[in-house]
Amino acid sequence: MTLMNPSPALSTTPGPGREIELRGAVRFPLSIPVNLYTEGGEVAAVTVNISASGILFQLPEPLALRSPVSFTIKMPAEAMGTASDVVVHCAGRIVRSGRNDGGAYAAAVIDKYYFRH
Amino acid sequence: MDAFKDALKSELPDELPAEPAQAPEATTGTGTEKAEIRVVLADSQAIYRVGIRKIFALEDDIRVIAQVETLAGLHAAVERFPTDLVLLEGSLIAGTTDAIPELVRRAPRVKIIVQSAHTDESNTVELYRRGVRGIIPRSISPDLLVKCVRKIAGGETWIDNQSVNWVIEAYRSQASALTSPRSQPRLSPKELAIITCITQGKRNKEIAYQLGTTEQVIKNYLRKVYDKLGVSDRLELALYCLHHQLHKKAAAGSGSPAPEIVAAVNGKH
Repeated sequence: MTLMNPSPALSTTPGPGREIELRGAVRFPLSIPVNLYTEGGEVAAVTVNISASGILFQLPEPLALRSPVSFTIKMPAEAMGTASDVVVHCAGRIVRSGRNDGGAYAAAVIDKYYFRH
Repeated sequence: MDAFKDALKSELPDELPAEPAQAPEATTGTGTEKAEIRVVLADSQAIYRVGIRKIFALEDDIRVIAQVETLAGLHAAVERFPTDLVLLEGSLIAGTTDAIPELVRRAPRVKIIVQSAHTDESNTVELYRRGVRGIIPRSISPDLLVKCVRKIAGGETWIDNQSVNWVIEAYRSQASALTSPRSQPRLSPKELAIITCITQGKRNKEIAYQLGTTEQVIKNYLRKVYDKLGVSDRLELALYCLHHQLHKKAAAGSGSPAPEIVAAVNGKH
């Protein structure tokens, strides 16, 4: 992001560590096992948080940036008040990925989704 | 490129230009050209359109592919021509709520800059929330405008310090309201029933038929539920339900759906 001082009209680009990320949708801290379908095949992952526009996973290895990914989120029927689990198919692309203490993380933007019923 | 710059020297029509759409020309390897940023100017004032076009004409990597003076013209332009960025006059969308989402829906990959004479907190927050990548004043300098276009085309967001504070504060308030277990609004049995249908993936028409009402009534309920819960779409609604265990709590408390509504919802399953 480029921060622009209103007066004088100069722009500064924040350096490492000062980067501010703004996201439009609220993230719900939900831990749900998912299977990711990536260019390299199927990968087992667990969600860290999910929003209407993106999702953060914990997984064994990082994924390639901008690579397409699809996955299905299964929401238990008991929690959703439905007769059967609510299943949402999502497709998007990886926007961030790297290693962390638990293995690796990957963040994806959800480009489209649909509910299966 | 030279032919195009020659064309720019003459007055272009206000609506769609005569030049045909061209495929993206980014190339890799030696002797390559910088990828062009294809811009549509949407401004009701001709003097701004002409002025901005002249500014961009000096830049090899920015190309104005269309200029329009109405929202309808803008919709037609982004659907007709491969567009990277829209520079949109704020007054064209003043008083509307769906202008930006509609534009994003028609051209999901286009990045939007809104040029506005006046900014206030709620308008700024809402614009960024709905997908705008930058908000700039009408008085912006040419150099800064070019820099802004390049940054946004490169994937960044352009935002001034004051707007950063507004947006972060709005995000904090919303996050707190949505994720806090204490601040859950009360939902009526019918609202809960409709939420159940939505999270089952049913369309509004289907829900209306099942509940014995009209599609418009369902849309009204849905709008009310979205506003009550502070969510923006079906997925966010489902996530909210899951996070807050909405139906579990409703069943345990006094908010259980009325039997006839439950029967209507589950009737066809």
